[in-house]
Amino acid sequence: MYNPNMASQAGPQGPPPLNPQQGPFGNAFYGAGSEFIKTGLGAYGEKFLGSSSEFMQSNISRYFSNPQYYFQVNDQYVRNKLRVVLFPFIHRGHWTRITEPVGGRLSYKPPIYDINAPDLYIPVMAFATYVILAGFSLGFIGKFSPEALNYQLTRGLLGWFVQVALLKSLLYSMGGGEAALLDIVAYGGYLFTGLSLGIVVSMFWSLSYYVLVPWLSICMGVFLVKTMQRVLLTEMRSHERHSSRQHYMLLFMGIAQIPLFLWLGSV
Amino acid sequence: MEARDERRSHGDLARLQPHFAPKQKPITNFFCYNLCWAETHNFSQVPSARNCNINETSILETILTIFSLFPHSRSQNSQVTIPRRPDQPSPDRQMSRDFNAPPVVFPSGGGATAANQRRPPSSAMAPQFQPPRPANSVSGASNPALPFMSFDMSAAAASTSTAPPPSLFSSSTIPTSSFEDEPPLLEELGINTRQIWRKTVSILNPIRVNSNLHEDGDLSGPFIFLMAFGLFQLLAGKFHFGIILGWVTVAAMFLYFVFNMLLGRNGNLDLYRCFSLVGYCMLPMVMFSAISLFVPRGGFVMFGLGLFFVLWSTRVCTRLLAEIASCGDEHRGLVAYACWLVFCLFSLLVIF
Repeated sequence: MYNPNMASQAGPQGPPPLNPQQGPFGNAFYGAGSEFIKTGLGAYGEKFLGSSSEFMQSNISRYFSNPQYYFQVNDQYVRNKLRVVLFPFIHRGHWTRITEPVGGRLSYKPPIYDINAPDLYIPVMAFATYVILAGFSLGFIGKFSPEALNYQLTRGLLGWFVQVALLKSLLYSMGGGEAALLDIVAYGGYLFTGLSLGIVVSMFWSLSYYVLVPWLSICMGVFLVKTMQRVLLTEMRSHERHSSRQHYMLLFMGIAQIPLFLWLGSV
Repeated sequence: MEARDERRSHGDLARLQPHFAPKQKPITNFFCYNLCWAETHNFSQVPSARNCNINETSILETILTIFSLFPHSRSQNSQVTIPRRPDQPSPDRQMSRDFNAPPVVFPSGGGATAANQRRPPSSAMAPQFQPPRPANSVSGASNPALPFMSFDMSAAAASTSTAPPPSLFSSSTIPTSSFEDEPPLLEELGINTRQIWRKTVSILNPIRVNSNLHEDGDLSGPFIFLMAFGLFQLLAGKFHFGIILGWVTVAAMFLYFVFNMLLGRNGNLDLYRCFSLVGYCMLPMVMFSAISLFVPRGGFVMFGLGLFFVLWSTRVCTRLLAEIASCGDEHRGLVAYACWLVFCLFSLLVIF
């Protein structure tokens, strides 16, 4: 939803890309260009995609990896991933993403094959669930109106953005800034799963929210810490591993989840 | 005493007219009469010039002179009954003397038409709706002075009709040959009402879903459903037309985005069909909003009904998506959850 134009253009890309950073993204563009035209928005599609496609291809692929990669999910993956996100202590096994050498470069396996790979389906669905649940809880209080719902949507988007900014800044400060942006967006969006759960429970018993918030934020913190550790490990140089500064940053990231949860959860 | 009062009242009424003599019009008298009648507020008393508030009559006169600037034709059905003095001429002749409406002149008229125009204009209004003679392109040529008319202007017609049909009915822009060849309006607009009805009925069955009907998208059915939804919401006191339109658009785009991302090249859902599907699956929500008018707000019944209708909509939408856009089994739960979210959003509008 944050990137609908992009995503709809990358629609018909089927099998996992050779390289998530470049190359097939251009194919997705051209392939999607014809599909875009078919849907009747052809005139605009031609204008925006056809003439400036090289420019967009070179610049966008620098910032966005192929979004199709993040939607290769199935039911089983979603269930397991939800369990990992909500109860990260239970996860037995390593947290590293499986890599496979494809076309001379190491790339990660898509989410179907790898439980540790980030996906965008869960964050987007969790965000939509959060908005609708916020609407319901507003209705129970009696303050529901469509404008209030739009306001909640904006708040949620802002919270997502804050989370992503926090993660990205932490990574930059520790030298791991080359991680893909959509990866960070995915990691940032997982917080909405815990948030939705908290809102559902708080609809039945309003005080339970304050009991759940520490639990949920700690869970999210642990999840993020473990994930970021892996990201940093892959990105950073060897002599900077296991520094205490790194540990303090990760701890800060985990603690910062609490105010974020409190702010977003108070509808 | 009473006789004298009566005479005086009569005389007073009659004196109304000479008071407004300079611009003596029946319509002026009509207004003044009513104004004085209203002024007194006392129907037992016959209004007289003395009882009226004379200060306002000058303002009234100004207003009425402005009205008199518009040419008004005295229609034969005017029910203005103003008592008038016996020696005054009848309003008819007075009218015809004051308001000689200029005759309607057609730019190109033969001798017959010119003769018709000399008649008094009052009779010009009567035979307006002449049934058009069978359109004959030759007949247009028979009256070379009026080639644009599609009606038969034979001499017999001219003698019976007192005036040529007004130019409103001269179809100067429609060529005579293709008027019957034009397709009917609904067909031209692409609204196939039979198909819409069949699609609607197919949605009503939550168990069995007939997906052949929904292969081609169609936006008129959804339009009707959304208007009905908005109307039922309006009956409940909520003015949500714009919100419904915006939310349907956003929801359909969301579904399109998620569906295409999930399926990639395997699915063939385009935005038009997605709109059409979401619109048709709104039918249970329309029924829910209709039923919710009779259910107490915020009660358990409302939530139970809401859940039932949302599940109905979700089931139909998922089945249709699965069959039309060739969705695989492994993605059905994921697509179903997206549909469920969309219809929950609309149930929010109805419940709260």
